Order: sequence, then structure tokens, then C-alpha cells
Amino acid sequence: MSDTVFHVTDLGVWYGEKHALQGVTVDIPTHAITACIGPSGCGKSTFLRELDRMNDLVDGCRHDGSIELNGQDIFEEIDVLELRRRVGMVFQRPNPFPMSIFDNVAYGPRLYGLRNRNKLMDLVEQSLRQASLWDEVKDRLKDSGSALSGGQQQRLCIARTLAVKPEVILMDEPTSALDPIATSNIERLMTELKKNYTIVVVTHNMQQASRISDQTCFFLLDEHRTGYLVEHGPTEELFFRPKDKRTEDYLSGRFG
Amino acid sequence: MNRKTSDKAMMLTIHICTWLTVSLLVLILGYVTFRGIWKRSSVEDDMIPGTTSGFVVASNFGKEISWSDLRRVARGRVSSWRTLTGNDQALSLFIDDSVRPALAKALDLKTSEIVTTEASPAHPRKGSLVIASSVPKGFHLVSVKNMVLAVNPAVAALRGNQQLRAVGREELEKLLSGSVRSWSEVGGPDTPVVKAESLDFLIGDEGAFMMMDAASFTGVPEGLVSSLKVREVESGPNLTASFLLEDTIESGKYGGIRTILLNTIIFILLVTLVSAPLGIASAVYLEEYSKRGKIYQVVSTAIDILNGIPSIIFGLFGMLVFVEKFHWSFCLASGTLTVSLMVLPTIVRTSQDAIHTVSRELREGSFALGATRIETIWKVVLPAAKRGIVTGMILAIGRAVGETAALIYTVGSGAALATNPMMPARTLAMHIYLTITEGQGMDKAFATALVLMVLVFVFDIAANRLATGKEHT
Repeated sequence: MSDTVFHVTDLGVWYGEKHALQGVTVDIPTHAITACIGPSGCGKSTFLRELDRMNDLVDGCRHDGSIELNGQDIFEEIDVLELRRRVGMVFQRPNPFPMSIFDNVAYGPRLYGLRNRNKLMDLVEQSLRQASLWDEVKDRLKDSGSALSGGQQQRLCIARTLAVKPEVILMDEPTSALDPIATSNIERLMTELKKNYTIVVVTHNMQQASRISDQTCFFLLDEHRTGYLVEHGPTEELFFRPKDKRTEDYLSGRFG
Repeated sequence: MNRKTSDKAMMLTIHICTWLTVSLLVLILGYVTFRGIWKRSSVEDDMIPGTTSGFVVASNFGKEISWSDLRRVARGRVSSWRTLTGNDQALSLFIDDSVRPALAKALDLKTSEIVTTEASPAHPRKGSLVIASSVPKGFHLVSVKNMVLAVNPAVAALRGNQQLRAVGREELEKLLSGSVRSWSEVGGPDTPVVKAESLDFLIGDEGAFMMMDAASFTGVPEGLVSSLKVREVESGPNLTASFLLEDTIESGKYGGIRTILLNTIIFILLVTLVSAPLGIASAVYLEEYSKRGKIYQVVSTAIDILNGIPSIIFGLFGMLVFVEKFHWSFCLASGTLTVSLMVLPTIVRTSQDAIHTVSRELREGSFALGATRIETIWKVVLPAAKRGIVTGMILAIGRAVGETAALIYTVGSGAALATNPMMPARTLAMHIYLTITEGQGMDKAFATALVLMVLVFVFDIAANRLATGKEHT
């Protein structure tokens, strides 16, 4: 159990009448990067958003199957707010809050009642250092978060997530809105972070998945446009010796 | 016409329309500002200054006095300059015994009707008025308006819906010099102008006029002669510091607008205090909590309809409910609540739009850190929507501060400082409306209008500063 964070069993998701995802069974390993790839609409983002129950915010969203976080059922045994503290999320478009850099990072800790200015300062510095943003912003912590560049904003969002000390960080196409240099910075950061955190990343960029991930999950759409997990395994294996014909076709660019 | 020419024609039209709009706006602003700063009003008076025989009026305060005011003063009915010039200044009267007969004659009074006072001021205080045979040292001559432009009733008779009621100062000069041949030249009937030498002649000739002193004019039996008012153009600085600092006297005829300005600020604060929490809370509910169902539709439509309802209808509602049903009478509370209700739809709508434009990602970012819905709204959504909400508030306050229709039947017309919400309290806009309808003078209205404009402007800038000062979006 120590090397598995999430234990997903036969997960299915509906948005109203639309069956978005079905029958996903997968384990997410600890202190590793798991990449989810597949064509648009294949349910990989839905899968990711189910892991911290962000889909609860969508009207009419239902699910079946089960997800366990370190052996606890996330729907039954963990409070949703507690779950979201333990499982952080970084979004496709950088979304700093309309407040200062400091307040952005301190947002989460403050929610959990941390008011002591010195402790907050330490935590903010530590988080920003972990997100390799500290050196760039240490003199302008009072500036607005939106004054940063896109890549810096995304690292600020990562720092914000780190500040609540999560076990897992979910990243939904974290670099798709960034330029190549910012992208490589984020990728380096992710590799750095996996020493202490478990990361699940959804990406459209196959090279990115092959560069940084340890495990890859490949999703596809069936004839009813319902997403399903085709295969998953160690990244190297999946990319170079795919077991499934559809994976091979997708990777070689024959569809998707 | 080829495409290039039509393109040019369109551009020209757009330019013309733009410049027309801009110049109209500048014209309006400029006119109000000019009239606010510079007094230029025509004042009609029954009498013009003349000479007095046998006595002089002197003072160390007022510069002129009308015959009828002097009459009241002489009978001891006036103890303050307030009703004469609008100044809160005690009036001490001194009448020299030697001039009493002449004064009585000039004022058409019996000698016994004139009050007895000390003959002359030993230590003249400010506000003294002396009636004596000569002007004492340290005093100046007060001109007495005691000459009446008397005309034969035919001149001032109603012709259809027209009537000659007043002539300008220059026209009077021309009449006196004999260069006006017909009354039609000054807006009267088509009868020749004749300068009468005697009262009999004045009564006998249809086009006759004559300058008479007030006492003799009053002596003529009613209906035999009429009089024309004399119009004088007064100009000078209008909006002065004292206008801002003085209390309102006689419903705005004299004095300034200090209390009205304060009342307006209190009114704005109260309206904001009532309408902002209600409006923003409703907007948050509609945008963040309510399901997009039937109820949402009904409420949205209701808000849109309320937004378009003329303010007088809100005024009517306020009168029936707050003033009558609640027995609050005309007061600040009635007016504030009425106007708050009136601006509420605007605030809800604009706040709703502002909240709606806050991106889903921002909300999700907060939720993803484990924030609850209310924490997300309070700490992320509202700060992000702050600018739009503040803009909506400015719009709403702008409407409130310029509102009269909703206030006529609710807020009352008291000009005193409203120290509790149950007191009547006119706002600046109401003051403009009231001074004009009560005929207290255009100048006061324009000066008030300028203050109102500046107030709105200052408020606007302040609110914008507030919205952009700590901008993080």
C-alpha cells in the first residue's frame, strides 16, 4: 500500500445523460509522475477531476465505482474539503487570485486557520522556493499575482498548492498555455517535486509525457463517445512496446 | 457610388456625429458651470431707487431697502436683516425725532405708527439702521426703492394670453427720454406712449405712464392705475465660499446650501448602506446559488422590469407605504428607502454581471485548495468582481443623487441638517427643483447644480480610485 496512493476501481462518470467515462481501474504509484494521454474528449480530464472531486461542482455529475486514497474511500470516508487539501490541483490556465503574491500562497494556510505572520512568511517562502519562484519574486511579494508572466503565474499556482502540504498534486495540462521555455521550467520543477509528492498530469503533449512521466495511462473514446482506459503501464513500456494495437496507432499518429 | 466614396462618406458622418455629441456635452457642462460661477439673472422689482425728501436712510450694513421693507422697519416689525437681505444680523434702528413727520409722509403712515427709538447710535453696532436728516459718520447712505412706474391700466391689461408686466432698465430709460413711440415696442399693446404730467392725465389717457413715489401711488384708489415692474440684470460671482458654508434661509431665497450639502452626503451614505448589501447579496445568490430554473427566470425578469420603471412610480410607492402606511411622514428614512429600492435593480444587475465574468478557473482554484463556497465567494469572487460592482454602485449612487421624482413625495423639503432619519431633508437635486418651482431664483439653482455636478464628479473619482487602487486582476 505504501507505494500506491490512489486505488481506482471500475470508475464511471456521467454528466447528466452523457456517459463520459467508464470502467477505469488503475493504481497511481507514490512519488512518481503519472501521465494521462489521449485524444480530446476521451475523459482524461474528467478522470483527473474525479480524484479530488472537482466534478462535484458540476451540476448533474454522477459516478460509480470507487477511489481510495491511501486506503480510504474518497467519497465515503474523507470529507471533501479535507480531500482537496490532501489532493491539490493545478489548472490549464494559470489562475492566480486577484491578490498579492504573498496572499496567493498564504490563501490555503489561512483557510486552515494559520494566522501567525511569521509562520505564514516561513511557509510562503518555503513553498515559493519549492516552486523555484522565490528568487524571482522575493522582493515583490506585495505585487499582484497577475503582474507575473504566464510561466511565473503557473509556478505561483503550484506554490499555492504546495503551501497546504498536499500528498498528491493533480495537473490539468499545466503547460498548454505556456511558451517552450516556461514549459521546460515547469517540467524540471515537476521532476523535482516528485521526490516528495505524487503527481498526476493530464497532457496533450506526447513528448512531455514520455520525457517526465514514470507511468502513463492512455484513454480513448468508444463508439458512444464514452471515454475508457485502453492501457496503462510504465511509460517506457507503453511508448515503445504498447500491448494494444490502438495505443500503437495513436502514438504513431494514425488517429486522434 | 463606389465603395471607397461610400466609405469616406460613412467616416465623415461618424466624425460629424461624434463632434456634435462632444460639443453638445461640452456646451451643457460649460453652460451649467458658467451660470454656476457667474450670476446673471434678471430681478424684477416693483420699485426703483428714488430720492427721499426730508430724511435720509443710512446704515453700516445693508446698501438698499425697498419702500415696503422700510415701512415695516419704521413700524418696528423688523428686528433682523434676515428678511431684508437674508443675513443673520440683528437690526438696531435709530430714528431722529426731527424727521418723523417727513418719514411718516413718505411711508404713508401716521406719525404715531412710527416706533420711538434712541435718536442716534452712541456706539454704533454692526447692523444699525439710522433714519435722520444727514448721514452720520461711519455710515453710508442706503438707497430707498420708492419710485413706481405707474401706467394706465390699459397698458398692463391682459391681451389674449399676453400681458405687459415688466420693462427692462434700458427700456425704462428710453421711455423716460421719449424715444419709445408705441407700447408694442416694449411688448405692450399697440397704443402710443404718452408721458403723463398729472394723475388725472394718467387715468384719462390709455397710453399714459408716470413715475410716482410710492406713497402717492398707494394713495390712488385701486383699479385706477396699474404699475409695471422694472427688470434689472444682476451679475457677479455666484458660487462663493459663503454659499457653501451658509445655512439655507427662506427655502433657498437667501443663504447657502451647507446643510443641504451635508444632507445629500448623509443621504448617499444611507442609500449605499441600505442598497449595497441587499443588492450584492441578491446578485451573489442569483449567480452562485440559485439553480437556473423557473424562479431564476422570474426573478431576473422582475429585476429587468423594475430597472425600467420610472422613478416617479417608486416615489408613489414610497409615499403610500413609508409616508402613509408606516406613518413616517416626509422624512429622510422614507426618501432613503424609496431611492434604495429604486437603485436596487441596477446594483443587482451590474453586480450579477461582474460576478458572472469571474472565470470558472478562479473559483475552481479556490475550491481545489479546500475552500468552501462562501470562502470562495468572499475571498476570491467578490474581490475579482470588485471593479464591476463598484462601477454599478457609482451608477446607482449617480442616479440616487440626481433623483427628484422619487423624492418629491417622500423626503420632504426641510433644509435643516437632518440629525435623525425621521427629519425631512432635501437633497441638492431636490433643492434645485424646489428653488425653481418656488421661484427663489435661477442663480441659486445653477450654483447648486454646479455643486451637485462637482459632488458627482468627486464621488466618481473617489470610487474609481477605490476600485483600481489595489487591483490584482
